[in-house]
Amino acid sequence: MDSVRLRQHFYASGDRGFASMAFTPGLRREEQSILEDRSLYQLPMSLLYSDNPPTLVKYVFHKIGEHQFAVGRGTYKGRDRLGRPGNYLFHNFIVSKEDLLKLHLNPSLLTRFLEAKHLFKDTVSEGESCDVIELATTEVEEMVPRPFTLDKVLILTILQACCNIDTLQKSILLRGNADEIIDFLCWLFSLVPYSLRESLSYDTQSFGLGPRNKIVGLPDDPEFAQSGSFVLTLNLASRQYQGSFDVGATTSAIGAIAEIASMNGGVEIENMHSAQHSLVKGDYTGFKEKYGKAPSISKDLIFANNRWTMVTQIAANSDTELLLSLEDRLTPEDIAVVSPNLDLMRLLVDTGHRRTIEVIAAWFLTPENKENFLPLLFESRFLWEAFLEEVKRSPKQASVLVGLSRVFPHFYSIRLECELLETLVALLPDIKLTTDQAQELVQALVAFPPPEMEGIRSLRAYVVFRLIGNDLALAELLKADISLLPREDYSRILRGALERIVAASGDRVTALLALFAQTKDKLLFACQLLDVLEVSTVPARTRQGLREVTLTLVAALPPGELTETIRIRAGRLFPSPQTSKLGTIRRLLGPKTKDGAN
Amino acid sequence: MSDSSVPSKVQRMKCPFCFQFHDDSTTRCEERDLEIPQRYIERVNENVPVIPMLAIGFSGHGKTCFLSSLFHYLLEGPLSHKWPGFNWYGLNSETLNRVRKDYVDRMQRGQIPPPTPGMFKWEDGGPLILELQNVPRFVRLRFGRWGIGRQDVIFLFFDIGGEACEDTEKILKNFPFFQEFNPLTILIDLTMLIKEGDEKVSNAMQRMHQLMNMIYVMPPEITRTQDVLICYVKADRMWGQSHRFGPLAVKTSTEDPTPDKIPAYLDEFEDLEQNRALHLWRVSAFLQRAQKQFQTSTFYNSFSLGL
Repeated sequence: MDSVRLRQHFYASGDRGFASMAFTPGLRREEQSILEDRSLYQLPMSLLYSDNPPTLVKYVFHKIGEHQFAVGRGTYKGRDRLGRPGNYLFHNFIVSKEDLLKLHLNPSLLTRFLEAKHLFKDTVSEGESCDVIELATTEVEEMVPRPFTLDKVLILTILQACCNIDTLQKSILLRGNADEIIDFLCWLFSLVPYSLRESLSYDTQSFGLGPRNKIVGLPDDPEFAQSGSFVLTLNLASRQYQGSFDVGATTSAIGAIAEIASMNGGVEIENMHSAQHSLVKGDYTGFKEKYGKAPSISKDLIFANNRWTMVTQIAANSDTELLLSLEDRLTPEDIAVVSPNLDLMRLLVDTGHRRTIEVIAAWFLTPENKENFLPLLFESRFLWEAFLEEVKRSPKQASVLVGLSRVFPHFYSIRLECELLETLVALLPDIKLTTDQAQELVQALVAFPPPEMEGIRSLRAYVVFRLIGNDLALAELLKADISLLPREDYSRILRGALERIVAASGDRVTALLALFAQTKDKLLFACQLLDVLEVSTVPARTRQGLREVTLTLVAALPPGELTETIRIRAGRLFPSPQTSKLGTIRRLLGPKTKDGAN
Repeated sequence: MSDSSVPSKVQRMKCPFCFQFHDDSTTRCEERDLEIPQRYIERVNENVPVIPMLAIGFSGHGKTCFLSSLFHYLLEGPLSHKWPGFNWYGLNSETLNRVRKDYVDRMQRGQIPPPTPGMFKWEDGGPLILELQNVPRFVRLRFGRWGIGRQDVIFLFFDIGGEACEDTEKILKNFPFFQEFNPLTILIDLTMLIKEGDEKVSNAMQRMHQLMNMIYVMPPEITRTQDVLICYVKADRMWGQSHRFGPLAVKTSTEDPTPDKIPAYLDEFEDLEQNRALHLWRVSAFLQRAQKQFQTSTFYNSFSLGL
């Protein structure tokens, strides 16, 4: 049976004034001192000297050191042995953090249980025996918090106040009697995260005691009017509240909790916090059990608030079931966390789930080294295609292909090379590679098996030429059928090749003729050649040397409108000698007069 | 900023809360999170002396009543007639409110104050800070002579519960600046001790020894520079019982002295015959301890509820 052990401490007025009258053996002096310091009870003067002072009880909760807490009740006892008013008795129970965790770190739950079982005492004799009390956890847990019906805005305000109470440096004031306040606190504690619960000290009747606690209570009675500044004041009976503070935008988590709480979902929230706590503490089994029982909205919240921890734990525990349940929410960052577990990675890839595949593909383009994972790309067609699409969208991340090229030969196939080359071609206008990266990629490409298809040869040669752009690459490119390339690329290559030929010092004519013969689109060839010659800074003599071959090529063009245009251009570029002499004479003679004379 | 060493020209103000020296421009004690009253700062800078007052004693031995009676006397008594120019001021609103509400009004209504909490509650605003003006004091007169003159004095009154006095550790925890209280006042209700002894609740001598022990463990380097006033309270319960209380049973004059009669008035209290009362209870060790531990020891008796 899981149990909670409680030590006891009584603070009351005896023969020597207030003192620790009785306590469980082993309670150290420092612990007693803290308990004494927090066991205070004051009444307003008007009630102090009344013939029938109220017998209000109060409940307190506070820390004792880092690993223990006190849950106590103070009872007003009227006058002491000397007839002085202001006599009271405190019965404190000391619980370890470990045990309070069994009760979801909800001290009010424990208080209600202790009250219900009449375990709080009103009298004590000095030195009386105080044994440890052991409670069955299940029994205490039956004290389920009674839900409070509050509107969402108020719940949100309360939660924001609680979550920021350290920053705001003021207390929350609750107006009501002790029972109302403790019921409210029981419910409130179920809404706030575990990390906050242990620091939310409270005192349900804190008249005259200053802001010692995060949450203070006062009866809703004019006698208990007290000045002070509070971050929030809430009257539990009327639900009226006052408070204004600025803590910035509401987090989605708090907003969601407020939403659920406003629909009386306190139990769901408590379970959510409990699951989160188990997760954070590394109790994966406990976490899974609670997570499994949580409604989807709670699951969403848990995942949103603990994403990294959850994914890390999933990967560490190879929890395929949970991983697959989260598939729709995974991001490249999550994949990064899962990636050390290759089995899980393969599982995700094997799902073939489009979104998952795209996310994994996107992850491949994140900065970290992925070389160990590149073989995965070849295990799934979907992943390979998605990866290439991703690369096309991100030319700046093209360096990933350099790494890919190292493993590619192990998985080589013509289809894969074709798809890779098409991707590279699409990237080429914007690709960002260093010289070394380009060289490495080229080396990999040229080391591929000799292409069986002309198209692949052209593509490969073209990509190599575009990556490194030297004459050797151009020569190789010209050996290939560049007409298989996309028109824009083809046009660009042709232009580049023609410029090189015209500028070269060798046998230009032969090179031009060879290229012409190789080029399927003769008209494009002719246009490009004229473009080059028209703007070329080649000396006139050189141009003249190309006159014959240009005119011959132009004459060989098929008839058509474009051919006519080309011929006119060629005629202007290379006028006939007679025509050119007439033109020269005309210029020497000057313009004709009106009557035709010069 | 604080510096507990001898203050330089700049650091002149001793904080009434933490007793560290603060810069002149400081208006808040960071250690206690309390505003230093502006009037206090001004008056200290005008060299008005500051005297912290603390009465210690067991629970129920009349510390709060003692203070209530003192305040009542200061505020409502005849001193303003007897002492020319005498006046009093609360240097912050907390003092004014608490002196009236928690001490004087209760006393006037004949209400016994509730037990004072064992740990000093700083959140109530710290000590009560009262300035008394034109108080007759021994001052250095012209030509190097000492005599009764008039002086303004700021008093800091601390009230602590009897539980704190059950052991020195608690006192020193409450007041790490213990050496600032000079004189230190110890209140003893002999009648209660005897009563408890008679009822076998506790042994009177044991309680006196406990008190002695408490004094004994106070750091001697602190107490050697302190004066102690030992005051037997609830004197009305001792009157007429000379067989038990010796000289303490004698009801002394309650006539308030005018300033010129104060020296004679004070001389009365140096009558060592009062000490014999202690011998009656065979607790001379207590007397000897007090005399050895403190710079000077003086014995009084008081009747706080006498109006």
